[in-house]
Amino acid sequence: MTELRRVRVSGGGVLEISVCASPPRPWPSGRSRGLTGLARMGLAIAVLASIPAPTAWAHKMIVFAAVQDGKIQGEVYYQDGSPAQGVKVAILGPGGGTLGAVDSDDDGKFVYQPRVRCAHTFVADGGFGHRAEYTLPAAQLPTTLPTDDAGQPEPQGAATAGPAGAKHVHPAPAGSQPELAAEIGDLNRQIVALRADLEKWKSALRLQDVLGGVGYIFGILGGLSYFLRGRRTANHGDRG
Amino acid sequence: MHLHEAFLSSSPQGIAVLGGGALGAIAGTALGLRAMDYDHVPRVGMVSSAFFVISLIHVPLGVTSVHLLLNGLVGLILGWAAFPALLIALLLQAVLFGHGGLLALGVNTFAMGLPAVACWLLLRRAIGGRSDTLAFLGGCAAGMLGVLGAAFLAASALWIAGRAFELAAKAVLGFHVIVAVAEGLVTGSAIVFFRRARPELLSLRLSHTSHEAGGPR
Repeated sequence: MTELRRVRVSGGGVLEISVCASPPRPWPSGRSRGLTGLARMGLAIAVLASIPAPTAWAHKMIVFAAVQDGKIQGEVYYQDGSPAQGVKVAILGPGGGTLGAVDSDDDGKFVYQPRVRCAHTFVADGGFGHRAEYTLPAAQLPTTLPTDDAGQPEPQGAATAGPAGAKHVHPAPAGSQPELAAEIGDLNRQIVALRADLEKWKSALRLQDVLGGVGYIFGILGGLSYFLRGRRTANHGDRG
Repeated sequence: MHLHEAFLSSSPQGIAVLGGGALGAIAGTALGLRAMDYDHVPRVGMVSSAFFVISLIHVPLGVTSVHLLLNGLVGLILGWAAFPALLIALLLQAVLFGHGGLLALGVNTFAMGLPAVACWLLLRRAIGGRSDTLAFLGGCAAGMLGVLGAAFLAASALWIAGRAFELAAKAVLGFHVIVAVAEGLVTGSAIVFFRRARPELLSLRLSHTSHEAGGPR
């Protein structure tokens, strides 16, 4: 079944094209069963997946902390970036001793005033299954703080290994140059924001990971099916 | 729902829980693999990947976030093969997203797999019967039993490991009751849907007895 169609082209001429219109072919019946079956399965999964409609991709809790204006400012959030409110954050020293504890506020943020220049480990415990940890190395704490020599000598040695190098990176702003100090403060804030972004990016749940996981599942089961191949003949021989 | 390995690995009792969970998961997986045929592989893969994706979708609830577990549905469809299906999905969640951690993989598989198989043992007759209403109710019961059973086992694991049971039980009674209701409705609807659209999914041949019972036909 052929029909002619006229199409106007830009030059002003008319182009005639013959269009073949064949009646739609029915699916071969054997194929059809399999395809509708798959379509139904897909639909079922789509229905199941769409039931929790107002959802967010989250689960893992993440804690992040950085030094800003002499204080440790931190944040607790879920994998999708939503804040984890009212979470207890324990602050541990390098030896595992407790230095303090804070609660995250409504934005998931917390502030802690460090007293000692040592590695601070923040352990956020959101209860059932939600737990996160982040260690802020001693090198990032202000050099004005006293190093705790009397405390744990062994881990302290490791923790204080950084400051010599850190002094070059973060020179303490001189009091006589307030403009420079303000500029360094600004720069520091930007770097902290960048690091927080990086941390969020690292922990975000990405679609390609989810799809990759599904692929792995089928891959692993495909491998398993190789070992189960013999079992089909053993169990189904009497049926077929 | 995932127990984090850090909660358990700090005490000797916790390490015992990790070891016991791993042994339970190995036993369950072995039974599941024994029950599986070549023909069951696509079904196990489909259910395993659905479980993998669905438990990544989180609904914020109060100060925490919850997600559907659907281990009851996994159990009803797969029987003992729920163990290998859950093990693979949880392994990938642990490796790709750090959920729970590899050390807690055994405990998590056991805590979710045992209620799944219990659902299958207790409720397969209800969902395989003639009545849609009974099947829906059976699905609801499986959904609730799956979540509450898993939550109870997880809370018990924390308790054995030396955590205050009140804290764990509060989580069980608080959030998971809401999840259990949602889960029950979803599982019930899914069962009714599968009965109409894909009845062979619920043919329930994945059992040790199936080969003897369903053999001469």
